[in-house]
Amino acid sequence: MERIAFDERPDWRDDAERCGFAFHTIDGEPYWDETHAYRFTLEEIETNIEDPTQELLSLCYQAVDRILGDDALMERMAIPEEFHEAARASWKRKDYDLYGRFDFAYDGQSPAKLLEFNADTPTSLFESSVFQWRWLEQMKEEHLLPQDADQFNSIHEKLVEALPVIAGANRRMHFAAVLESVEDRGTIEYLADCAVQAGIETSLIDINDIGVDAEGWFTDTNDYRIETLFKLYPLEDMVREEFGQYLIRTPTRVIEPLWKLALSNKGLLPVLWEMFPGHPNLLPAYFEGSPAAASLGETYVRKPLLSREGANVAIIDPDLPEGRVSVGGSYGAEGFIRQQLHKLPQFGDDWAVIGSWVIAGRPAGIGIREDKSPITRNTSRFLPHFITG
Amino acid sequence: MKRSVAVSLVIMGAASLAACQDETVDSAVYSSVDECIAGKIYTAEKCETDFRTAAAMHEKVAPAFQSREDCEAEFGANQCAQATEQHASGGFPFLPLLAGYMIGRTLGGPAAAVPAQPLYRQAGTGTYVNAGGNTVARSTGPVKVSTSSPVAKAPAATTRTIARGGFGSRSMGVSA
Repeated sequence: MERIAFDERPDWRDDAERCGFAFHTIDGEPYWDETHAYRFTLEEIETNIEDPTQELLSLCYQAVDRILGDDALMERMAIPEEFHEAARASWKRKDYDLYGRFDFAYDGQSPAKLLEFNADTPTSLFESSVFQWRWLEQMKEEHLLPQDADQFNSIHEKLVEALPVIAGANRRMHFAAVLESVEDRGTIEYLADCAVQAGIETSLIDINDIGVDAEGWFTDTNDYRIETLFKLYPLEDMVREEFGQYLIRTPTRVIEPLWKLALSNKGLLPVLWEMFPGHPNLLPAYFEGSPAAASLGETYVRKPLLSREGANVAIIDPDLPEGRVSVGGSYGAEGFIRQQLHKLPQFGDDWAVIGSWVIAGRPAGIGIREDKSPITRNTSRFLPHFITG
Repeated sequence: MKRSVAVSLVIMGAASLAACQDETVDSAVYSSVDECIAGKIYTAEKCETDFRTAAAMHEKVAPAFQSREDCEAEFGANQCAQATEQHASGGFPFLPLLAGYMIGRTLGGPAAAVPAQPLYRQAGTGTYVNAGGNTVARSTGPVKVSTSSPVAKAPAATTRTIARGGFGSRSMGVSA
């Protein structure tokens, strides 16, 4: 694994605009960044990223069994009591899920370490699936990369395969998000595009515009019943909102399903460590306040059970100038976990995290984000990668 | 190879908008299975299967009216009846009689597919419309259906929304 400097393609911004990649630059700051790219060997990708991704997914499924079978643990993970049975039922029914993204600290030397699992609403999907793919193809066309250069990225193919299974016989899906968020909107537009390519009729709807009918179906603004709803909106928020109660019995198929409450929660990390202590891809982690948490000593990472984009995450380390580095935010009311500090690898001044995608239960590719801070935030940049050797 | 063989976009961005993927599919409208078989375009089995599909959808998705009068105003005298099973909109409204059906086609994959579905005949013009009220044909026989037209999709059930706006209060989005 190495980071290599490249010249930017002169017209990449035009290409991004043509593709509808509206958030390639955010508030004047670059988000898509091709001034560098990461090179991996096939061995690194397959043995050190793809295999651990599949393996961790199977550990996560075992953790779902454990979590959903234990009301006290669900309470500790701040899963509201009225959803315990519904989440269990959703898991027993094997309700379809679509995707997730493991975030790894991996430096090409030691085993990839799982920092967290974004099992419910991961973003950076379009740039991983489409725009880094286009980068590779164009770099090869210009002979700036060898003709046999590859990329760990079958995200698009796997989405087009998975969506018709989820949409079922009626081949209709609604995609909901906070449409004012350019990035969220771009993500569901891309998913809808994949769905159309798979022969599915699609509609976008703002999460605020969803209605409900007398039988508990969710409805769209034209009073059509929503048969299958993909929502790019946190499940843990939905269960706490006014319509959360309808999630328990609605005939609408909701993606991601309720059993994902057990995975889209940092409480998963201490559960995994308790079940599989010493696993090479896991870091020691404990619920804050549990006696074992003291074993981490004075240096650790503190993460809220529920948070997005690094919000309210803090690195506690007496060697740091102020004893800590932290990101602000409004999360944390539901409690925290502590995880052993395992620093991201640094390339130049940048800290890099690898997002490893899972689509319908299979490893599907990676996307790399860099940040000037050791905690990856919403200011991070997305960099392409390629495989040679 | 570890990457997608091809990555295309059909609705995102300006490039894909220009290259709109519209195709026409050969289908047909018949008032009965006998008429379909007599048309000699489709096998008897196909005629029967699609009729059964359409008939099974009928009571769930047919245009719904609060009163017989409202229904007959659109579909003609003695052309309406009260639903015998619960309609998708809830309750047992008045529905136009099943006047025919459209043949479903799946040739050329999902992008060039149209569904079998029930049809209704408007009073006066005699036009065949689907459950959504979209015109399918003026008379029975072969018809070309554009895959981007509303009749190219199985009719969805409309309903009565009793509350709206119960999601979205806690978060400004997941990338905010």
